Amino acid sequence: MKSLFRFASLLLVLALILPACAPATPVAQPPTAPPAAATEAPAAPEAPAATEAPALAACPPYKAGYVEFQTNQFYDAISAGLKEGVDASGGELLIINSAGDLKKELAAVENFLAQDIDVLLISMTDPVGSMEAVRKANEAGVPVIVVALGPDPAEEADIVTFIRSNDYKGASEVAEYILEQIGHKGDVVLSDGPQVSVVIERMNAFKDVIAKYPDVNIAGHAMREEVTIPANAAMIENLLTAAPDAVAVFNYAGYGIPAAATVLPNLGREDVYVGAFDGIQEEIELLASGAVKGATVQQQPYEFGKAAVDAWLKYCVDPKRTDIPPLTEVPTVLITNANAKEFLEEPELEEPAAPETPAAFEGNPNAPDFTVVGNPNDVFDLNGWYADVDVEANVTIRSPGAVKVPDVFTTEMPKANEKYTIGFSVYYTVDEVGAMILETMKAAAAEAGVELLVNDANYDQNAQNQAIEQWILQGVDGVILAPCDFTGVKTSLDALEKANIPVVTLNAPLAGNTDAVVISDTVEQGQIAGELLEQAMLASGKPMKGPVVYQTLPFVHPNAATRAKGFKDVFAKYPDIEIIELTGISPEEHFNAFDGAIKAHPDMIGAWGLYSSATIGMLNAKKANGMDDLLLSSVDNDKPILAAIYNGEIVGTATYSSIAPARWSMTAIVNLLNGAPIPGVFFYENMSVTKENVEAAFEHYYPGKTLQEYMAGQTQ
Amino acid sequence: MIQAQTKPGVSTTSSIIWNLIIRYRTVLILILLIIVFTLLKPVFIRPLNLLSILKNMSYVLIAGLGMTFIITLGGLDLSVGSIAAVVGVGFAMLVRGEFMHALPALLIVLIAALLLGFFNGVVSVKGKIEPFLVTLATMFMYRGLALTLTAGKPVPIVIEKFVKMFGNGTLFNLIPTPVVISMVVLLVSWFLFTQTKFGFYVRSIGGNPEAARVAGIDISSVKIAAYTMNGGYAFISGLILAALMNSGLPDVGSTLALDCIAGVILGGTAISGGVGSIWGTLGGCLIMATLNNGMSLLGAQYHVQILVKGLVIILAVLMDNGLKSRQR
Repeated sequence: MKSLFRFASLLLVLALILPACAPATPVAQPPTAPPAAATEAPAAPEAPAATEAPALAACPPYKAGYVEFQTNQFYDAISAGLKEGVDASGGELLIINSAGDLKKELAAVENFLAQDIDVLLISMTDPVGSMEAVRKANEAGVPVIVVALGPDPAEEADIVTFIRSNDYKGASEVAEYILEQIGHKGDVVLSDGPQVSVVIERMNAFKDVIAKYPDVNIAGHAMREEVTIPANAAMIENLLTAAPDAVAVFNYAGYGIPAAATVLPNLGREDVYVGAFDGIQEEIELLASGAVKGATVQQQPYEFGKAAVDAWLKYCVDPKRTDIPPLTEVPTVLITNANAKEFLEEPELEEPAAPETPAAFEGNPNAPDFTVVGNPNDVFDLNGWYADVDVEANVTIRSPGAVKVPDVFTTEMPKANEKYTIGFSVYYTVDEVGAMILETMKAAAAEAGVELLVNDANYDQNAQNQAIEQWILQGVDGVILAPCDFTGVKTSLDALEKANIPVVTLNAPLAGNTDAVVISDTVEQGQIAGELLEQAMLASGKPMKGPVVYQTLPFVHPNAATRAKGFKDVFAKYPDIEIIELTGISPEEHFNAFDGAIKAHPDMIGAWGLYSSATIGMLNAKKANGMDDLLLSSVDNDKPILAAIYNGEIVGTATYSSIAPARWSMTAIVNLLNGAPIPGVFFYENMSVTKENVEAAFEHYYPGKTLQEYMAGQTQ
Repeated sequence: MIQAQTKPGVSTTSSIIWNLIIRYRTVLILILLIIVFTLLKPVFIRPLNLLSILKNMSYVLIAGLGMTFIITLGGLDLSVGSIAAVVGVGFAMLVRGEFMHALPALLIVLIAALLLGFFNGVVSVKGKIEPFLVTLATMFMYRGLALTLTAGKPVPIVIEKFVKMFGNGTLFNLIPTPVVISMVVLLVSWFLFTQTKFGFYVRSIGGNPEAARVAGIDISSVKIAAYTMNGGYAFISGLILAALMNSGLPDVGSTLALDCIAGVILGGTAISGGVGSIWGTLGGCLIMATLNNGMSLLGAQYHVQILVKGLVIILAVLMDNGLKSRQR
């Protein structure tokens, strides 16, 4: 059992990392059963479709701990499958995200063992390094089920089963489909990747199927270690140039189809079929639109979770039973041009009913507005979020759980149980955002029935720290803190903790402890701005080649770093686009920087202002240079930016409300003081604003005013 | 005759009162502010809030004490905030990851701060350039240095002892350590300014450089020494700022120079040089800190805060001019 398991265990390591590493590549969940389900795997029995009733009845209430490898669509789907299975079988599921960190993984397992879990479910960070965590569980007598990412075959592992896909079978299906499309004849090329077992398995499947058809000839075979779309694009381009008669390309992973999409039109070879593996969203979109002819297979992570629970339920009833295979294979789904659209369909919307209250926040009157992100019992890993963009953070959020919240409440502002005194220190009010946050906070305080003390710190952390000291002296009941300096605010947070005064931070600090943070997903903001620019560039019909300039702050601000990451990720797939960073603080500094950039880079094809001052400076420089056709996108919803979008001078902006964060901060502190459970992280909404929705966006962000009035000078 | 006898009498009395008001204007403004803020927010007068004022004033006062020497000398130093930032990030980087113990790190950043001050003095004196221009340039240079050293990132300081000693600690579980440090620096400065030849030279050069030269004072050396010493003041100020922030921040202290110059001028030190007062600087800084604290308690927005601060400075300068007119 172990040897078979060990032999197969590495197969999925890269396969699962590849889609997991792809930016914003949600795993498509077909609304109904997959249209082209795979056949039975010869080597191992497939996972049952649903939790088995007999086992359900027999297994007593249990506690399962799942160590998630990453937070992305793939692993979220696994968690969702696990959760449904565990909930249905009367168990309790704990989830901790290791973020691919062995230390965190081991700590998570130790944490679970301390909580007396009955089964450990784990997506292993490292085939060898993670064995320490598995051994810990083994020593504690806790059975281990490995999901998606397994151990090195050479490692001794006592594992109940390893849940995975059959890559060989999936790749064979892709190859059969492609060869059928080309009439089982002609030249084909193989675009190979890192020589790990999973890639070798897929390429062997392609070759074995091709070998069945004597009229199909492998005209080229290339291999690159680099797992990126540009690397794959270059490889495919070289292969097709060397094999001018090739009619199909087989690529080892999900980057093959997006890579081919950038290459085939330039070569005039749009008729070439592309076979790939993974079924990431970008592949499916290209197949659905017909931009690329071909096929891919998709793994079913949700079923991984369900299968893991089924295996546990069997084991729970009888650990010695023999019908639990060492390897449980979940079928893959073939996605082609013909059926890809089915995988793009939005999930079926249920009838708009009264929103349900997430169980973890029962008693919180605003909980119906919460959309829980991840496990509500987990404390959000803010430090890891920042670490992804190389920003060091050491923050402890005291409340578990993270939720997304809307700009517009369906629930009401909670009423204070008693007349609380709340201190609100805001970093700055001499701009539109700060002023609106302050005004909204005052209104929210009145609505909640609390007394609000205000401090305008004007980006002076010492002034903010002083205000906190004063409020502690005054004996305030709670504080809402919008930090001036994300690190220096630790002094205030420490003082509040010492005084035992609850605090909600509006924007996430980099140091200190807080009860909750109210933030926007700034990576997503950068991504939205990047996609707006990308779409405008593609629509312009010009080649995706040349410099793209973005302007940011001259120092590292966490919001800037996270936005930049989201933006750069969007353009990572274009090897001929050079991203150039310039800096400044005020609009005039940005004007000068961009003015120089326009002259230094006459071939500039796009630009992005990372925040409003940057955009406004860049916009004016663009106008001053008569560069009307230079595409510019933005973040922030300052009125001049929205007016410029309306006028077609800016392609769009990623925005967020100044009202929502203030209101959600107030609900958080009032609920906390009222004794209701609150989530540790509130993510308020981001919005993509273009010419189509800019007027509605203006009215949304500036209630009672219209863009037309603003542009006519009738309102400020 | 009666009238003639009475008028000078009345005039003398009102003149004495007026002179007293002018002479102790800093104290009077301070008392007035305390009364107003106490009436509006009684929590203002609580001892812990008063200590909070002193703590938050401490690093400005220390920079202001150094600036008192410079302004009395007829100079100006706009780079103190940038030197303070270099000190903070330099120390944080040196002790990070136990790269170096705190004491040698402190010594290194002290030397660095003195060298930066020395550079200001040498360029100004030897290059015969207005100190305003030199320190305007070095303000940018030193800020750029702090940003370059850290690549713009804050550098956390994890040495709890340091943070307590210079920032969040207390003496007798009551008096914040920055207050203690600033009071020690105040006394040392008073001694230097009033009881030593160096202080005398500073006042003499600021009052009449030509007379000072004729008297055999080495003006260049005194000026360079004063700017070097100001680097030392910025060093202490920077350490307190870093400790209060729990980190070395490359953008910290951007308004420090203007804040401390305002305190010095409010305290009666003449911007034209020659006249200076250490106690006056304490009073001026106290006024600024009291205003900050009081308006923070009142929840005043930044617009109002800077408006009131500006008005108070104008008032103080008018009173200062009034004093000089009377003296003439």
